[in-house]
Amino acid sequence: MITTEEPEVLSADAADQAIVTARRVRKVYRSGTEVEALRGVDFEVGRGEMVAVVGPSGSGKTTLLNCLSGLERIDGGQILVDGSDMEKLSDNARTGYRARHMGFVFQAFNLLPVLTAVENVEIPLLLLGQRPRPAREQAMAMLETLGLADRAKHRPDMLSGGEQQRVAVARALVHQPAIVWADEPTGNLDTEGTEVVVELLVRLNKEGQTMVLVTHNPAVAGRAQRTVRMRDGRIEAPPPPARSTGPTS
Amino acid sequence: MNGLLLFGGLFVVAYGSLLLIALRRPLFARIAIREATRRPWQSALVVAGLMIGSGAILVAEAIQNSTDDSLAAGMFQSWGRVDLTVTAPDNSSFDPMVAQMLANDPQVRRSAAGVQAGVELVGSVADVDRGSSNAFVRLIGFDPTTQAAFGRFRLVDGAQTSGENLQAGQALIGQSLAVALGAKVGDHLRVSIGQSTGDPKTGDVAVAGVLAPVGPGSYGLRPAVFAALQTMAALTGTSDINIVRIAARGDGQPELDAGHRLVPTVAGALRTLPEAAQLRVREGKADDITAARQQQDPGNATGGFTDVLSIIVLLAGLVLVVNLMATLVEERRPRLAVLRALGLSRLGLIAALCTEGALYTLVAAVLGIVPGLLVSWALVASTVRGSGGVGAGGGIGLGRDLPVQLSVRPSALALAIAAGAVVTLAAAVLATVLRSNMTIAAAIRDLPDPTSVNRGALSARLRSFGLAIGSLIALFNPLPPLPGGPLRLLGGTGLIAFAALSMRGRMPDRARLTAAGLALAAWALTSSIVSFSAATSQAGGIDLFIAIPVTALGLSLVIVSNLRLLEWVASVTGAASGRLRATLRLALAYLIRRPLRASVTVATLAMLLSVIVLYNILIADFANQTRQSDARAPYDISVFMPTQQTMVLPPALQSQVATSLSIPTRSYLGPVQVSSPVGTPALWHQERLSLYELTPELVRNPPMGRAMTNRVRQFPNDASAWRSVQNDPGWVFWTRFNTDVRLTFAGPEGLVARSVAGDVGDPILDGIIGSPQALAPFSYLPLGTTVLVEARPGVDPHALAAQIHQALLPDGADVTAIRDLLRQRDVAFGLFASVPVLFMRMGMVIGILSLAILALRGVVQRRRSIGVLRALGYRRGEVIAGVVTEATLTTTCGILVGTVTGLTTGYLYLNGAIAATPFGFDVLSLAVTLALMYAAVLLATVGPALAAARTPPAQALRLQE
Repeated sequence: MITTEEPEVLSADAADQAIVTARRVRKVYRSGTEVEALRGVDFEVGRGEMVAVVGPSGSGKTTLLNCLSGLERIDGGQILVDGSDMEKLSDNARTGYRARHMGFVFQAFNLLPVLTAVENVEIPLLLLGQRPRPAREQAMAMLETLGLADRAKHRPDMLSGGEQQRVAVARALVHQPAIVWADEPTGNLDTEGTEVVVELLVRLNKEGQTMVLVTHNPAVAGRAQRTVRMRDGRIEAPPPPARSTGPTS
Repeated sequence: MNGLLLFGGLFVVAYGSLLLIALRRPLFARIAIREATRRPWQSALVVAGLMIGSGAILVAEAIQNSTDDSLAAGMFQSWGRVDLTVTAPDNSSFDPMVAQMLANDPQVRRSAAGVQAGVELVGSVADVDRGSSNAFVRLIGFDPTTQAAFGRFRLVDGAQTSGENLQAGQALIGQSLAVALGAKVGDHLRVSIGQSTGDPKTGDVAVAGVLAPVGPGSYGLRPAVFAALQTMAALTGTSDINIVRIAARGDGQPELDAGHRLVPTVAGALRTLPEAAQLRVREGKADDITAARQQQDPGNATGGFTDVLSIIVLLAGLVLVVNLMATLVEERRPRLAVLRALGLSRLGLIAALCTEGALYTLVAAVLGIVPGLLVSWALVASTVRGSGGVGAGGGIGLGRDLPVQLSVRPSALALAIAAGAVVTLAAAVLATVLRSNMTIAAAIRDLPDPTSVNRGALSARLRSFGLAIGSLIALFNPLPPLPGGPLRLLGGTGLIAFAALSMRGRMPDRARLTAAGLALAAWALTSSIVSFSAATSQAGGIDLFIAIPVTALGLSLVIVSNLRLLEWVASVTGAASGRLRATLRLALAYLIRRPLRASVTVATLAMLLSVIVLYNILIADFANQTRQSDARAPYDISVFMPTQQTMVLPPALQSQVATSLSIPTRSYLGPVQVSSPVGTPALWHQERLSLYELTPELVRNPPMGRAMTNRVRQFPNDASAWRSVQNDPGWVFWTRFNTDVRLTFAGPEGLVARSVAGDVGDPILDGIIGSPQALAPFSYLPLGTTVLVEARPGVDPHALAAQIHQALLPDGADVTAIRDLLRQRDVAFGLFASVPVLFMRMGMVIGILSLAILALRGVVQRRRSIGVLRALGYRRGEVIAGVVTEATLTTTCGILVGTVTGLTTGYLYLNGAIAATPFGFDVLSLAVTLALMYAAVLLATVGPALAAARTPPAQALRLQE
């Protein structure tokens, strides 16, 4: 269910500004001992940009992505997405914001096993309150775009890993979100599958889709416009100044 | 009916809302249906677990319906076509013309189906030909010319008669009397009819036929002789009658209604007859049927008793439901987290899960009817028989052979389905709400939720604050109408829970839960001591049934949060076998991982077991007391002579008698009202009661001693109770003691009310014992004698009883060896006591079923972990051992806690509430129960364990739902 609480409305020139801005973000996990997963991270993502976050295991990549996308609360600092302070939004408001403006691609695909491919893809549309018929048409169109029209009625266990991840990408994009978060999108794929999914992501970025992806794979990171390297909860190199960028040419 | 309205309304609202949500959010309905149908066998297991809701409720309802309908059916059978009776207040005789005039009254003739002159007396009967006798027989005189309107008698050989072919001096006898006497057609019966003033009237009749127990032949449901008025006149020496029987038109309830409408008509007709000035009309059948129905009213102690037991079983079932749904939600946590990430709010998530839960609960509520009916069928017979003798309602069916039938009304089925569905749905919602709070990012990857520094959200603080305030209100109980003891217990429990919640994160979990558990157990037991020592036994009973779950939960928390100590055992065994240590450690780890949930599971088993232990103690206490009092009993034989005031034995027998005690005895058969403040005021019903006069000799030397089994709390000791009964005509002793019972009889001068001071635990004098003043209003009843005989040393009481019986045969005396009476009492008590134990065993089945279901869900949930273990080198046997060990550990904890809780509360209850000092329990019976529990747990968990062991490691590791 989507709540009606909306974040602040974007200003007229907001489109020219960074879509995501993180300032001095801290995240602490407490489970017996205290672990500071993010130690005052500053980070920006420009509109239409494709940013790869890389770094060794435990460096805080996934935590950063989770915090930026509002999946987790932070313990210090500020995160602005499209000008909205995520930390000031209630859980319901953040949920609604995610539904409208964000898409997610997970390493383990995380498709619902009881639903077919097209039913998985239409979930975000149905959650946004769209009527079933147009939602189904839109989901089918998205699958067609990704070359999966003939697999629409199949359940996830009948699809290959690459196909499952493409369905996951379709689910992330079907409601035309402002930004797509991808956490190790090729982590569970073989070389061929990785190639297909990366090509797909690059193509979508070229069409204007803003993306932030966390990856271990240098080849995947290399296809992004910008790479941010993390270590011990910090970003190693200072981020470049925010700029409005067009699609990668 | 109120319950049906309440739960029916809740059912419509809850399921209607979910249907609306499903229609508005087809995605939820789609996911729910797909999840439910994806793995049919697993869904079937979930449904099987949820069936407990409607099943348990149906069992409680069915027992009430069955008892109610069996008793009501018995009353219908007992009264036959007779709806109204016209009698004198003292049952004295009157002119038979009254019956004739009533029959001729135009209004009565228009409304009534039949009017019959009759005689109804009580006497003793001896079969001269067989040498047998029965001391309490109803002598029923009827008019063959009007019998047709009341139904024709059916003989056991199939012939039918209205009695028109009976010769003078011939009589028909009921089947139960024929069986008791061994009488055959043609036998000569010596009939004695007692008189209030002295010498009985005696006469002989010949048996012309034996009546089948149907229609008018079962009138009164007691051993009876049916004779035409002419023969009866020869026996009584008068042609007067003492009853007019009136049959209303119709059948069943319409007949009762017609009878009710007929009362003013008959009363009006009587007013016009000068001979009938003292006569009164009574709706005997309607009164008895209403009293039978009220016997099982929820406010009645007997009805409440089965309700409490059902609630305990239902509580156990609800824990299973919450556990099951929580496991289900956890199993799907990653998938649910994805939905949350995609924009589904927490409320939406709960709604989606509840939509699926609604499917399960609805199907389970309907299917739960089947096991509910089966269990009811098994329980009904023993419950109906058991409650007949001990219920506060007064044992309507006592002494009669009532047909027992399983009866389930449509309203009971509807209530069971509606309440079962609503209750399990509520439990499912609770589990969903508790488990739907997740850190999305962690849940997506199936990792545990990280502990955040942002602890103590406002809503959580508000909940804690609410709990604290509510607990304080309960603790200080500003609402006097509510019972203070139970509320205080609950209030303190709430405060301890609040303190434990407040300390979360501020001290180690193990220490916190241990402290909370100890505090809960200490509080519950301390409250019990206070309540039991101050309250009446029934109020103490309420405290007991609250103290048991709280104590069980407290001790379970202590034991589960300290299970890690068992690691020491694992380390010792580990020296011998590393693999064994690894197996034990894993089972422990899974149990310790969620201490609260494991504690609740353990506490559920413990609660059921502790009630079994408690009843074991109470039964043992009863047996102990009766053994002691039986040992004190100096008499060997009881002789009841309903029509004689003295026992005259031949010299040969006299020489075998050491001592004897004669007690003047009268038999009351008529309307009685038994009222108790803890039950609903009972209505009038027919009752047979023996009235024993408390003579100075009986005071000096009561057959079972002066120690009392129970007494009203206003008497500080047994002696003061005895004094009151001796000196105050308002007090009597009664074998069927219940707290603050008051008996009201219909005497010739009006109503006679007597309060019951206590029970002297005397199965020999089974009835009311009162001073001559207390029993003075009953002096119009025939006077008989009960003689208690002590045999000389070396004389066999059974042989002497048989000889005395033979000698007193013409008097129709009832002669019984007291040892047989005591044995009969023990059998009756055992039957009654078996009901709660049966209930708890049913609860145990649920508890063990829940362990099996949880083990299976655990195996499903941990398939990846099991794959990892197998990959690491765990053998199949060790996987099986791990799963079985986990369930066995839970059972062992439950057994430990249950036994300790049962023993402690039992001890406190016995020494506080009912002032009894002996304490003991049947170790063998408990050992058998525990052995059965272990066997059942092993049997129930071996399936899931084998399933776990069969999982190929590679497949389990690849598993991606």
